Amino acid sequence: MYGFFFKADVKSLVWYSPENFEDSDYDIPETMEELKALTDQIVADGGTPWCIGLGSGAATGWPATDWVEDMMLRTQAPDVYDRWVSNEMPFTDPAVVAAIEEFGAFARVDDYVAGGAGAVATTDFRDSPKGLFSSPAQCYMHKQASFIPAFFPEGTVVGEDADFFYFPAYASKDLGSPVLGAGTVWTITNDSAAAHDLITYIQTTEANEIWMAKGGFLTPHKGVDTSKFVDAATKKMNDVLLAATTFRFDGSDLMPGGVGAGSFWTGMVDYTGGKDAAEVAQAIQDSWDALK
Amino acid sequence: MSNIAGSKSSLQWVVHISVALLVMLWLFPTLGLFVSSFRTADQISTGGWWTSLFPAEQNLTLRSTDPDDAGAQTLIDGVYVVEGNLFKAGVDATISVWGTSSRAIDTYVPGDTAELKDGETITVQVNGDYVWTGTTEMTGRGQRVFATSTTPPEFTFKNYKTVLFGGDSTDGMTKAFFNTLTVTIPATIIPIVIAAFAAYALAWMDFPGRALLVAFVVALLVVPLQLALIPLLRLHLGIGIGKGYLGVWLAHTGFGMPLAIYLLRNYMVGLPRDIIENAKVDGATDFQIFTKIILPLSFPALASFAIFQFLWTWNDLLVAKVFLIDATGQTTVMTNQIVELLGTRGGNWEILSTAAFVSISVPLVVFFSMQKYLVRGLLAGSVK
Amino acid sequence: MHPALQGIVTIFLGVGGCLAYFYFSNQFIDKVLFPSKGVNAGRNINRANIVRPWLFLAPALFALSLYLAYPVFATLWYSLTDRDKGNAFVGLANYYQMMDDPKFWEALKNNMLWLIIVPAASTAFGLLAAQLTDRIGWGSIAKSMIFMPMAISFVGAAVIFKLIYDTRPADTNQIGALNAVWMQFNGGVGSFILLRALPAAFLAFLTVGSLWLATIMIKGFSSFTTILRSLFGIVLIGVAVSSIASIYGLFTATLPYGEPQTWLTMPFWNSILLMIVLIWIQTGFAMVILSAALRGIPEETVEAAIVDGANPFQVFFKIKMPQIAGTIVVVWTTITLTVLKVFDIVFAMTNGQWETQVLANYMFDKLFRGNDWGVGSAAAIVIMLLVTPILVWNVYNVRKEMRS
Repeated sequence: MYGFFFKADVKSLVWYSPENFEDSDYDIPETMEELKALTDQIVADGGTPWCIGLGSGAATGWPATDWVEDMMLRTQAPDVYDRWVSNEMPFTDPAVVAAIEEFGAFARVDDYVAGGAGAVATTDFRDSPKGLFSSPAQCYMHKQASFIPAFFPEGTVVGEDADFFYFPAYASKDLGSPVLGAGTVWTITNDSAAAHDLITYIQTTEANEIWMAKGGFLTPHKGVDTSKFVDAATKKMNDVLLAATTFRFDGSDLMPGGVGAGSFWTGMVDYTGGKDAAEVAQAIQDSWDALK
Repeated sequence: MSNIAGSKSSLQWVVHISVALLVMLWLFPTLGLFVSSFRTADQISTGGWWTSLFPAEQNLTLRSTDPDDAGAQTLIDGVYVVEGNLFKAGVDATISVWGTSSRAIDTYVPGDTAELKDGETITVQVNGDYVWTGTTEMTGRGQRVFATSTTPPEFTFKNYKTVLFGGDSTDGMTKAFFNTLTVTIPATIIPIVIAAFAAYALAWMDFPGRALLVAFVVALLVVPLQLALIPLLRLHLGIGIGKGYLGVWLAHTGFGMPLAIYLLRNYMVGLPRDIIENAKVDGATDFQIFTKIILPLSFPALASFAIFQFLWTWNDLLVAKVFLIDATGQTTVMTNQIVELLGTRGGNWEILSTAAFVSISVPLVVFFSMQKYLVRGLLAGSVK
Repeated sequence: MHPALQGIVTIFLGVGGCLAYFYFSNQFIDKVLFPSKGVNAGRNINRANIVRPWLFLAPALFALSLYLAYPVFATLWYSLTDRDKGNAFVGLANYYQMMDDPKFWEALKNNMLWLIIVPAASTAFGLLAAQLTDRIGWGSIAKSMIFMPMAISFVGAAVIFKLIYDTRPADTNQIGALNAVWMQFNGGVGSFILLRALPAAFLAFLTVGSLWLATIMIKGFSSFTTILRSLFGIVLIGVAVSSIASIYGLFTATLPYGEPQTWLTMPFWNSILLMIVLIWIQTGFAMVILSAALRGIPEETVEAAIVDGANPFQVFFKIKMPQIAGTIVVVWTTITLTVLKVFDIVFAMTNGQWETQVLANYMFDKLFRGNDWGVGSAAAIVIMLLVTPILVWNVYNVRKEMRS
């Protein structure tokens, strides 16, 4: 059975305040190496680079799963990612543990995160981006999906007060520009002429451009006229999507509920609290085995 | 009592002070919630609720008017000028230090003139008045000014409006309020009727097995209701009631029955024997004795249990979650709504505290007006 | 049908139905089945009076059996079956699975902690409050204020205390009272007195008190059986030992002054902070009951002791305490029951994370998040087992009372 994306969401974005970057003369990093260098630069200048918040009530921990999935796409080939989310490759595989530790390289260093590593799990994910706009700035960068502007302080204009750049990939690893995202996959379940007509229609540029003009819509269709987007910010997000050499659907959504909406979340909370990555991976793998 | 114990008057003062401290300690948490519900989000972030009566100092990011706005920029003596006040109309704040870069927010004091790039300057006064000048025409967005300012205390009813009349299902408590009322009232009234008859039988009718039944009731008082959830949910689903109001009324009736019978029986046993004996001699049937004599006399016990059950069902979360609340979100009760808010609005204390206070306001009113009965109910059978 | 309308209809049907049932069934017995007139009047009246109590009891018995008695056995059955295998009988497999889960042992350990600390603290504070408020003119108002938290839902209390335990980043003002107080400590003299010396003194008092109570237990206390006595004795000695260890830890620990703490993530201390919520609520209950009991003590006994030259402490411990011992037991057991059932507080504040899990929340999690009825029911049975001693004790007492 085949399906295709009509309406997508992008998660591999880093949000920042352009004016704050300007005040300190920082450049947008284009590679992961540059991003890590910028992180250290900000610390050297006396600031805190990242705002990371995992808190979400009963769902606490889910933003960390996005981080780990993004890091997996940037350290391993896409087929490794696929084998991971289907559990063909166990959670305890060194590739997965390494991806978790890549996240920890940002989130477990007290100097790198606003509030220190201990605050990561308890800061609500809706509150943490506010650090970008506080006075003095509590952080300079916040990695989050495209929905987050809804939680910026009132009156924040995306594109002017807040902007984003693509969460970069390693220049040295030669894995292209992977993008993590989600979206709506369309497929035909009840075969009929009308269903085929609909599918054919929404694959046209015209159908895409109608929704693009209304806003809240991203498309992987490479033939659309990107100037038709309702605002510059959405166009820029779509450019990130179109420039991707690899696109993968959010991993925790693909895993069974007890893992992707259960032990993976709580495991990440334990990891940010100081638990060892291999132990956390083992616990998640055990819970996955218990579901089989 | 005090003179028997031989306490001196100075000891009395110690007692007064210790009780006062104890009361303040116990009131402090609830008071915090109450005060926070009247503060705006900005005010809450400036400091704890105990500072709410004093002017608060906070670091603000303010912006001057956009020079591209009509009439904002004027040309005076060859210099382009934008003037105005950094604060919104009606805000009465004073600036202590300010800056123009996010790196250094306290470089200047009010009255200073900051040199910006491109030959522009900006001067900011204590009350937020600013003058922004440039040698060439200024374009783009307004100039950012970081000001450490002291704002006077501000209280508002806006939170209550949002929570009660907002209409937004995530914040709105009105629907949940009526739902909770709908759950509570039948669940309070029905157990009383059933239990009163049973209590009378156990108190005043002599029959074999009575002592065993009383022991049975006492045993069931202790059974935790966690045990009953899954079997009863399956039962309800099996006989077609499903999750809904009828299910939760039946559940609360069942769970409240031991306490009702126990409380009412204890009280009825204490009723004067003569009245009942006389009525029997006069030829009254048991049913008549019950409805005409026992029930009216038992009113205090009935009131006690009613208050108990009302508070218990109003404040309950577990039974509602299992027997009432389904995925549609139409049947939420206040306690569940608060738990949802803790998840979705965990950092918005102005909404959270208001919603929480709304949910505890009815029990508090019931408590203060009917305290006597509540205490009596607790004491019934507890003091040995 | 609109729920409110449904509610009103239910009330009418329920109340009316009950009254109709009672009335008509009584009429039926008295007039139809066993008519009190006619040939067999005497025999009929007797028979009617034998049947009548069961008539009065029938609806209540039905409700009790269906909603409380049957589920005990049903849950026991579920704990012995596996839903995924088509409800087949699997013996103790669910229990083994539960005992393999470290979260279960964490929950059990936490429950033990809750069971030791909360009833003791609530009763102690309640006794203190009762004694103090009985002596002053505005005592009833004070009692009202302390009793008020009992009217608040556990969830509401969870929100109230979450505000107190709130954490903000280090360079902003704290809005949570606990962190605001914590930020005042800076390692100086005040910190030493309040954070090391005073707690050490309290722990020393606790050690001495536990050991003294343990010796009483071992010597014999008339209303306890030997097993209970030894159990309490062991627990008390454990408390004494851990208190001594804690005193040592108090003076050697380095405290993170000046940094706001995320209180609810600190293992062990977060459980204590959650317990404080329940203590805050239950102290009023203990106070009300103990106050009534204290007022029930005959004045002569106290007077006689004072005439004999006893000081207030001796009056309290040797005269008053023994006379209210029965009430203290009732208060203790009632609060213990509440502690075992506490679910809302942990659910709303931490949902069992950071090692705060308790059995009631564990059961809820397994049943409704994990959809594992077998293990969830097993956890419920464990709660039932913990509650059984109190059940036996209460039934024993009520039967003693009914016989006298």
